[in-house]
Amino acid sequence: MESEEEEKITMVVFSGTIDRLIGMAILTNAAIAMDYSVDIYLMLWGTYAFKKDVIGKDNTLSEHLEYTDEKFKDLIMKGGISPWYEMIKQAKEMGQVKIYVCAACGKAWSADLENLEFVDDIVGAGEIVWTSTQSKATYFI
Amino acid sequence: MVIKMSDVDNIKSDHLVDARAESCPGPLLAAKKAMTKVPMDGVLEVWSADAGTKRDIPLWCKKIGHEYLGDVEDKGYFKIFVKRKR
Repeated sequence: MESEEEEKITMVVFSGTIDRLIGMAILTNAAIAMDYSVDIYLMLWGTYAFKKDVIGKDNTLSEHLEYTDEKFKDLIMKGGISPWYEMIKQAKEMGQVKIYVCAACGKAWSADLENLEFVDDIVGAGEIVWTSTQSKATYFI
Repeated sequence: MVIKMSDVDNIKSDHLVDARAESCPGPLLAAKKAMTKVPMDGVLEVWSADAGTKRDIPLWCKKIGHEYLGDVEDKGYFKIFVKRKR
């Protein structure tokens, strides 16, 4: 198999909480700005977060659960941070960003390309492992 | 690389991008986008109020191959100068 280009960043997104997705989106935009291509692989909760009936509606946090929606919104506004899905949309428009769903995770959510936002294709776990070995860096979020 | 305010007048910018309203990595993305409007060997001037930008842009130059000319702080924001090399 042909080796992937070396200027690639891989992100394996297991988590679907808004705080971690913001981190994923910021790093994706930074990678695009630095002229890296980005492959994002959605695992269980990451797949859930990209479902069309969920995206932008679930504000669950992974930690500091004392932060109410309003308090967290204030924090994000103070940082001048855009919603994570808007940052992903921007990154896809500006650079080479591909988003894939792990086949088993997609199956678990009865999710396909029709009911997922921004997703380009459904892949096997072997491809996720392969791509990460061909990347400059792999982030697990 | 910090440059003196007195030296800024000697730098002729070919294009200015005002990204002071943007948070990281917005100014970097704005710089990348704006660089297409700068002629080869021309200078891009980036304004950013985000402290991370003056660290990101030299790294971006190193990655892409542009020449980082330096930055200067002016009234709470940074003016960053990059010469287009490719």
